[in-house]
Amino acid sequence: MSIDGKITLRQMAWLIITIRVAVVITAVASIEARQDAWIAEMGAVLIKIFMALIIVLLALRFPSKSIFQYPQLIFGKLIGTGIVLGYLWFFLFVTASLTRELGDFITTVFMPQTPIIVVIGMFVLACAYAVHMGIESITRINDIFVPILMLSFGIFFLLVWQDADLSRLRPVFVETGALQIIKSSIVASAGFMLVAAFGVLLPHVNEAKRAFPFMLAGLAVVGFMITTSVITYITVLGVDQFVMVNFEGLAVTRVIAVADFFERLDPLTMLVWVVASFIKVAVFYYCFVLGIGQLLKTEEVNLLVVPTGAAVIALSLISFESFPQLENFFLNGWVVHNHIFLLFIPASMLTTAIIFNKKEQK
Amino acid sequence: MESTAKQWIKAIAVFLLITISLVNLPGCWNRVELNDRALALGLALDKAPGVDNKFMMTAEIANPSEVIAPLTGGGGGELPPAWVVSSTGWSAWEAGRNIVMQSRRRLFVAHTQVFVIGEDIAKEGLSPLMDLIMRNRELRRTAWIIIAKEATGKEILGVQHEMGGLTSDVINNLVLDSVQASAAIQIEVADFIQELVCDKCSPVAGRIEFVDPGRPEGIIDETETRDMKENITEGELLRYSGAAVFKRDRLVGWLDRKEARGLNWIRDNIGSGILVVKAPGEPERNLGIDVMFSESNISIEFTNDKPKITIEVEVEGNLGENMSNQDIIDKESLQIVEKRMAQVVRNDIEAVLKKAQELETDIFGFAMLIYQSNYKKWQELEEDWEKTFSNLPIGIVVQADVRRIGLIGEPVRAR
Repeated sequence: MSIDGKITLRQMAWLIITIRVAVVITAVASIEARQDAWIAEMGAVLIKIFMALIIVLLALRFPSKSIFQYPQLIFGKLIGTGIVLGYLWFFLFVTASLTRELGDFITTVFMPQTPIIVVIGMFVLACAYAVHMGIESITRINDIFVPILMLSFGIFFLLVWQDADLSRLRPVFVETGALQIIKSSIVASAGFMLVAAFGVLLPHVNEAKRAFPFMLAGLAVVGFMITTSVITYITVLGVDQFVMVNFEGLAVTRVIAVADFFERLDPLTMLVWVVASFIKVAVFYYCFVLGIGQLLKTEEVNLLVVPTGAAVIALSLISFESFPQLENFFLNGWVVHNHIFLLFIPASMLTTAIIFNKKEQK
Repeated sequence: MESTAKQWIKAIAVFLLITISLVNLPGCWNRVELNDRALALGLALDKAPGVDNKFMMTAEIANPSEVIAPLTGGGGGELPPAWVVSSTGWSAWEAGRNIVMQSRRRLFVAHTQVFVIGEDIAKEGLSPLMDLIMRNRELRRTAWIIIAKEATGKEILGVQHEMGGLTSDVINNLVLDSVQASAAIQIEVADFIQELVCDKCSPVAGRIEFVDPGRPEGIIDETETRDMKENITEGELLRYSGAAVFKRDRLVGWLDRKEARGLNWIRDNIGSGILVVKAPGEPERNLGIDVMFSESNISIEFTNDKPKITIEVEVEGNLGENMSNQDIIDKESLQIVEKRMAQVVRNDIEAVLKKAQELETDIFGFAMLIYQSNYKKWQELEEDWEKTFSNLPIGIVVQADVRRIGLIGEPVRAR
């Protein structure tokens, strides 16, 4: 595994796109806001921009250090190491739970009799190979995937638009109330786990100084895509079904029937989800392995790729007993867990670094 | 020496990779060959005869070789193209699975085109059955949902259509072609469930019934009751017309053809249809207007906190036939025809409104409209909506136009 690959700003922005696309097909986090979910998703974009800003400011203070290294510079050895261990847990757990989500999706919808360990095992094997090849390879695969994903999405929206009824979005803003929308925005923004990965990847980015505008661009594209798709889900399914179904994207895809022969496009959702999840899991997996190497100050991290894969498979199987538990966790426990690592710790690190004027020594 | 060892390792690695891929890639775990599947094209759900709380599922299982054989000119026709088989169980899905005991193949329902539901079970509520359709990964939500009037779904699927072929396919085509007359409604399961789970809507579903071939189709009075079981003979015809009206998930009534067309005017689902109007000047002769275009718009206003609905329908048609002796080319008679045309549409709409208000079931989505356009007012009305709905003043404005008159101007008349 190469630990010093370089990625460009555009590739970084494209990573945001792919990784958020997977979310669009899985559970929409803001369903509590009912027909105002799309407003909540737009609100979530603002929170995500704030999260990205914190990570970028931290990266500018410590240009060659990652989120596994600067906590020790800011808080000292002891607390810093604690935080690093926390982030290691975060990356491992995110990898595992995303893997499990994909496995549950495949076994629920497409291959119910296939043992989930087979699905997860093969998936993690592919991811392990990608991680072994390093971040440069992952982003290059992503360069191939993004146009395919965008095209699939374009086709999807074109086909589904005839079933949409915009009046289903009304009444806007009154039924659930502003408080619920804000709450749902916070829930939805907890899905932006990539921001922690950027804490690891920004030292690898060429011209990290200009990273923020590119992140903004990526977030804008993604925000647009998520908002459009949530609007599509509500207008096609109606708000009651939107809240009821487990996989909104799949449910909408199943409604597509153009001219009697262009129908049954469910495999398209599987394609999008598997592809997007692959990049997503590979990135978090890579961050975890890199993190261990940085904590132990070793460059021989290649040895860790396979054992980590085994750990991911095991953790994904034992963390959740069933799909309802997973779903429940994604909608409830997930928020607190993620925002500790995505918002709270980065924000306190930045504040401390500013107050005590901690900077990387040149 | 070293390079050969490396080459060996490489060769073994490639071999392993290919072997592993070969094991995994050719198919998924639950691959089932087509000839091991019982391909259900239509499903019927009924109450199991004689037992409370038990369900009966009937499937029309296609016999692929017999369906294809007539096309290719092969030696088909020895076996019927489909086989109708039923089984019972304590849940609908158990009933479906129990079919395996008779069919030796597991039911494969991904190609189901129609769901026929018996009247009895529809009266008891459909939401328990709809859960299966939403939850199951195979069942398609684009299938039609149809209620069997005065019959069980099993009887409907068991009919051998005179034109031959699969009953489910026949029903599918009946539904598809019903837009030509617009006297029936087309409802996909997805739409039905959407209206079912929404607390402000009431669903409607298609209606299918037997027709006695011994009697001309048009003479049968909609309100006439007949003992259907007595009439089932070989070659019995099915008729897809009208609609089944639900209150929440319970079947509460039927719409006849006129009322179903009224519902289609309001819901803006008119494909085509013939409007029969009296000829100007000759009241005993009729004109047939072929509807080419229609558009509806429902608006709502509040006077003294009381809602008032206005339905505006714009309809355009061509003169399809003129059975009278008088042409309608002059402006005056054309206006009379258009006025009468509007009256026909208004009559349709009034009929369905009256029926729905009697049944206190809001199949038009008026509640949804109020909810969407005026949430505050809806909160006041929500509690007592059914009462409000049954006394709701509804205005109907119809704009009718005859655009074209066909190939001849003057009517054909004997001199």
